[in-house]
Parts: sequence; C-alpha cells; structure tokens
Amino acid sequence: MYRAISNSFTGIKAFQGGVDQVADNVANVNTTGFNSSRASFSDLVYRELAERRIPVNPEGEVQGGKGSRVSSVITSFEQGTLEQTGRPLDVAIEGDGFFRVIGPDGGEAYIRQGSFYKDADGNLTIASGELLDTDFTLEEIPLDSVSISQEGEVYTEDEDGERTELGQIETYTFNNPDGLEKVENGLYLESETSGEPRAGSPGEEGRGTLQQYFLESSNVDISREMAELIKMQRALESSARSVSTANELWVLALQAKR
Amino acid sequence: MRGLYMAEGAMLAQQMKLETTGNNLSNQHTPGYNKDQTVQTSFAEWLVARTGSGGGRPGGLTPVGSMAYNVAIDEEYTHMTQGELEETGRELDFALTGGGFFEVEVDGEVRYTRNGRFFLDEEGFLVDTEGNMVQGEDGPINLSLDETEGQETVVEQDGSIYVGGEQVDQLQVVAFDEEAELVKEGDNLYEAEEAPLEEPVEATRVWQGFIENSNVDLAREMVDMLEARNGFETAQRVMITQDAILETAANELGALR
Repeated sequence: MYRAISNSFTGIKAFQGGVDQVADNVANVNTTGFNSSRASFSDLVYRELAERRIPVNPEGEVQGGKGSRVSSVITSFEQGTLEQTGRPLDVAIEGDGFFRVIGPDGGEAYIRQGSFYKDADGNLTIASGELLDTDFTLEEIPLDSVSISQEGEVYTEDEDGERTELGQIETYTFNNPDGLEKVENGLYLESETSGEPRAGSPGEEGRGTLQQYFLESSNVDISREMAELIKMQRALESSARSVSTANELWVLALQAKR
Repeated sequence: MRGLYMAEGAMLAQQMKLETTGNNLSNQHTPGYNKDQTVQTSFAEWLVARTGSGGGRPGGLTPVGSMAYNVAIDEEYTHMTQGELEETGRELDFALTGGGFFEVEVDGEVRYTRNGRFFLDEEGFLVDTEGNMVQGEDGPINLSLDETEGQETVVEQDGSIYVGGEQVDQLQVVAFDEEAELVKEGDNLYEAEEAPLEEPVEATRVWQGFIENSNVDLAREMVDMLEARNGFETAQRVMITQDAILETAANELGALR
C-alpha cells in the first residue's frame, strides 16, 4: 500500500516543482533580462513485481513504476521585447549571448541584462556591483557622449562629432545555455554541462547585436504561465486524489479485522 | 480457508491497479510517457471435487466443477498510442508522430525513447535530459562543429539535421515489430529485447519545436482509480464474510449448550 501512496506522492512533489517554476516566473514578470523557465519531468525506475512477491504471470516480465520526478529545468532564451530607456549605459542584446562580469573575488559570471553604471573609478558595473569584463574605463568621460555600436565598439563623441574609440564590449555564447547555473541577480555561472564560453564581437557567429538605450524586458508571458499553473495544479490535485484513495484502501484493509 | 487467500489476492490486485494509476498520474506531464495498464489473469483452473460421498462409495470423489484459486497480474500493458503534440518553439525539442523511437546510448548500450527533449552537452553533442547521447546515422550527433558555429539548426520531418543549410546528420528513428516487448527503464527510456526493424517506418515524422505529451488520460485514470477502490472494497467484504463463516465454524459449531 505504501507504494500506491508513494507513486502518487512523487507526482505531487514533481508538480510542486512545476508550480515553483511558474511562481518564480510570475514573480519576475517585470525583471529586465529575466528568462522564464519550466520544469521537465521523467519517470522513475521500474521494478519487477515478482521481486515484491506479488502474484504475477510467470511467463511475462511484469514491472511496476515508481512515479516521476523533475528531471531538468529548461530556461527559455526566447527574446524578450526591447524597451527604450534612454539611458546611455543601458545595452540590450538582441539575439543570443551574455555579458561577462567579474565579481569582487575575481569569479566570472554571465548576465543577459545590460543595465550598467559607472563606478568611482570609471569602470562599468552592474547593479549588484560586479564589474563588466572590458579593457577600458569611462574615467572623466561624460556619459552622454558614450556611444555603443551594434557590434560592441564603444566610442566617445566630442562636440565636433569627433569619435574616439575607447574599447570593445564582447559577448559570450555557450553550447548548452540550458546547462548554465542560475544564481541571484540575473547572473549565470559556467557549469560542467554548459560548455566553455565562446567570446567574440556581438553580431558575429550567431551572437546577437547590442542595442544601446534599450533594455530587454523579461520574457515571461503571463497568460502562458497561468495556463501552466492550471495544468500543474490539476495534475497535483489528481495525484493528491490518488493518495487519498490509497489511504481509503489502507483503512478498508485495517477494517477487515473486526 | 482458501476463500481468505482469494480475497487477499483480489485486494492485492486492486492495490496494484491503484499503484499503476498513481504512476500514470505522476507521469501525466512526462514528455513521451506511455501509460501502463494492469491486466489481471486468474490462476490456473483446478477441478474441484467433493470427497466422502462420491457415487455412494465411501471415500469416493464427485467432481463439482472447476475453479481458479486466485488472481494474478498478467502484465503491465503499455499503451503505445500517440500523445498530443505541444508546441514549445524550442530548437532542440522533437516529437515523433506515427510510431518509432529515438535511439540513445546509455553506458554503451542502446535504449529507446519517445521523449525528444534534447540538449547540447559541453562538447556540442546532442544529449537527452540525463546526458545520454542521441544517436544519428553513425553514432553520436555533434552539432557544434567549428565551421557551423552559431548557425541555426533545422530538422526536417524525416529526421535529417541541417546546420546553416548543410546536412550534418540524420536522427536515428527506429520502430519495432512488437512494441509491447519494450521494457520501461525509467528516465523515459525503453530497453528492447529484440533488434528494431531494419526498414525505417514510412509514417514516422519528426517535428522540431514540439514535444509529445504523455498519453495519460486524466478521466480514464480517475475511473480506474474508482474501479480499484470499489474492487478492493468488494474483496474486503468477501474477506469479512469469510471471517464470519470461520468464526461460526470455530465458535458455534459443536458448542455445548
């Protein structure tokens, strides 16, 4: 009887995982550069019923399942809509790719949202303080004069329209972006399954182009999330019903002894 | 006494049915999952005879008919019917229609799956959720060759894979004569006892950007659940009745009054 309960219980846990993803997505509907994610499910190992001393037809291999689990979380890297902000240091990636930032401990992380700030030393940082991985600074350069091309070249323009190149912002792609480890503040870490980052100029080899003065809004679609929530909730309910039915069976078995 | 064991067997069979339903419900959103159904069978029929009064001879046997002693699980039948396709728009999601299975390699052995939710691993090989390599015409499929880096992957309905317009490989899609002989292994994989058919199936189509939902039908499972519950209760009543008979036999027959 325990198996009847646990089979359904694994489903409840798995669907709970599905609901958690929906909740995370909905909570980040207004987070710039946020990528929605979905739980994906697998069935668990099967076991021969004969091993459990359940009477079976000896000629066949009869096996029973053990339920399901969340096997992976799939992140959607679908493009979010670009919103014009008018800030010179807001840069959206239109297409594939990530910016690379360096944390205070020297650790590298990757981020979709390109909302940058100038710190006291003229370095570009993101809101949570990590530095953008570049070879130039904006020391003593007024922000309004900074211009970033679609290919990531960074210029300043003086009053006469004279351009001085400052440096280049590179973006990074991965073989398997689904394998990136998602951490806080929209940051992703390279992992064993993501593959090595490939650096290069935006717009080349499948890397998306940069759009200055724009931010990418979250790619969460609320109506799709609601549909997913209903799907998960109903699945969860049906598994819960199955647990309570197993419980009824258990009670009936106990009542057989008067 | 045997009535007690028969009632127990019946309860066990219904319990198994509920376990299967529970497993199906847990996997109602597992891509490519095919639902199981518990099929019951009776034990072999035995001839039952009355002893003692047969044909007027003391100790003789009078046949009174045959009966089966118990119920057993005949098989867990897997329904290999088409699940609904769901559009995901994901480049590496694939669904199959019209039978057939993708081939993946697990620890050097071939396994089969209907779950076409694939990824690229760190070296650019096409893998399933567990990191098992998906098989093409000549083994693993690598989609991240240097010269095609960053180009769009397009998979035609016959499974041919194009990267940047150039055909690089073809998804290995195989079919079986007896799909019921496939054994479930978890992680959406099947093990086959027999080799797949040599000829590819004409009717099989590969759909990129879709996944095949499980073919579990919620309403059907709910009905099965009710059946299992009621069947169990019936068997339980039989058990109680048997118990009452035994009680009568033990306590009332032959009691001195």
